[in-house]
Order: sequence, then structure tokens, then C-alpha cells
Amino acid sequence: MQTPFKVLVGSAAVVAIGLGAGVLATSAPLQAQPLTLKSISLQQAITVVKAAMAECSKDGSVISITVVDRDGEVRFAVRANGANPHNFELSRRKAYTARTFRSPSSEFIAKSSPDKDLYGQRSLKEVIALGGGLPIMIGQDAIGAVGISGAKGGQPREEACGKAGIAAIQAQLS
Amino acid sequence: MSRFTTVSAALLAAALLSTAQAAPLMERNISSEDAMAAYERMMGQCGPATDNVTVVFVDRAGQVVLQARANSAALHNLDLARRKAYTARTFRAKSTEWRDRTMGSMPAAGQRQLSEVIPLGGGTPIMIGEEVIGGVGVAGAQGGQPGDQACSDAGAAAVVAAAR
Repeated sequence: MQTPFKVLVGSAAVVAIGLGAGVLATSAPLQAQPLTLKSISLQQAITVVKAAMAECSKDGSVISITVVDRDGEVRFAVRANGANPHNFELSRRKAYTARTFRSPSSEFIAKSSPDKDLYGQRSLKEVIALGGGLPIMIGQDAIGAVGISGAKGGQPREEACGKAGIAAIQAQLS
Repeated sequence: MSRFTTVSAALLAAALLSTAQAAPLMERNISSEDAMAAYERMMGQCGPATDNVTVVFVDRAGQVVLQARANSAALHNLDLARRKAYTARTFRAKSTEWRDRTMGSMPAAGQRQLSEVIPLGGGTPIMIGEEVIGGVGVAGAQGGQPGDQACSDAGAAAVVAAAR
């Protein structure tokens, strides 16, 4: 039983390689380039965090803040002194929400409210329907996002601090 | 019986009184400001390839305070850095030392079964005297584990300097 099976597999492999070679030979564009996409750098992320913290500290707020990159992965994050256990997670999920929908997380609240067709999006694991997350855009392209939790003044103030953070690297976003 | 009741009541009253007077536990901990300052300071001391260095600071409870993922980080680097920091914090020892004392058939080898620890160099506890207030973990520095360890040592020293 073993030998025929091996032969069969061997034949299939030869056919597959033959087909693959054929496809490569006919369609392989010599000019093929790897995909190149922009993503926020660690240095930029640190600049955003510092500027957002500076803005939020004006009213004495100590914030938890996360910057995610293009892939929605954490690039730089800081948890506030004395933060509640949920704050750090919220900052990350707000950033993730803003990144993946390429819009402020505050807009996601209305877009996905229980009476809307998009309500189902709220069941995504990492998103959160709370303001305080902003995408970091180059034109229509989201290269990352910032999310904040724990500011006095709540979600509107968190969004304002995020704006101040992004403003610090605005000159590099073109 | 009545005497027993009296004694019991007295003991109960004493217990309640001491509870009422008990103060909350005061624990020192790493601040986010000190973590930020230490991160920037250590980056000047982690060799020529600091762009590759991924760093995590955990607090006294082993929770992340600051995480910085290098632009060129491998997929596993952030998790490694965090676990090195956690290992150093919980065993109050450099993760290189903990690695060496939990090897093979050593009596403490079973400690490696814990879920969050990792037997790799690059983690340093942040100590104020004999008291541990956090940990630093590094992954991706030049020179492998010795390079990571030197870098995390610099990070812990920078926190202590900043906290003064």
C-alpha cells in the first residue's frame, strides 16, 4: 500500500511543480516588487505620546496611552500612575478601533449603535465603542493610531489630547 | 459558660478594634515618568544598534508600565521583553542568573513551569535597596543575551537614578 501511495504523491508533486513552473514562466513579471506600506515609527510614536501627555497634564490628567502601528500592533505604550486595571486595555483598544476603521473611535459609537446595520461590528474582539482613539493618517492611508484612557473630562478630552499628540508629527504625515 | 462568653466577646471586640485601626499597605512602585526617563536614558547605553532594541518595564505587580517595540522587531520580541521583565521582577534577580539556577536537574528547575517566566538573559529587577519595585526586559540588542542583559541592567540603573 505504501509504494503506490508514494508514487501517486510523487506524480502529483511533479504535476504540481510542472503547473507552477508554467504559471511562473508565463506570468512572472520581472519587475515584481515587494509590497511597501508606510507604518508609524517608534520615534514618531514616542513623540505622539509625549505631546498627548503634555496636553492632558494641563488639567492634571494622568493618562494611559497606546500608539499602534499600521497592523494594529502596539508600537509604544505607557500606563498611568495609579491607573485602574481596565485603563491600559482601553487605550489599546481605542487605538485599534481607530486604526482598523480609519476614523475616530468616537465616530464608531454612532455608526455601530444598536439600531444600526453595523451594530454587529461591535462584536469584533478588539474594538471598543468609546471615544479617545484617533487614526494617524497620511492622506487616506492609516499608518497607525493613538488611544487614550483615564483623562479628566472623559472621552472628548481624551480625543483632544490625542489630536495634540498627532499634531506633533503632522509635518511628517505627507 | 458566661465567663467563656465574656472572654469571647472581649476577644471579638479586640479583633474589631485592631481591624479598625489597621492602616492600608503602602507599597513603593515604579512611576510612568521614571519609566519614560529611564527608557530614553538606557537607549544611549545599549550599543550601536538601539533601533533594534525592544523594551518593556513592568511594575511591582508585574504589570506593564511602558512598552517600546523596535521598528525592526521580530514578532516575538515584545513578548520576550515583557516576560524577561516579569521574570526579573518576580524572582528579584537578573533573568540570566535565574536561567542558570533553574537549569536541567537543579532543584529549582521546576520554576520554569510557571507560565509567564522565561529562562533567557535580558531582564533586570528594579531594586530600591532590598525592595523590588519593578523590572526591565530587553530583546533584540546586539550580542544576544549578554547584550540584552547589559541593556536591561542600564535600564534598571536608570530608573533608580531617576527615582532619587
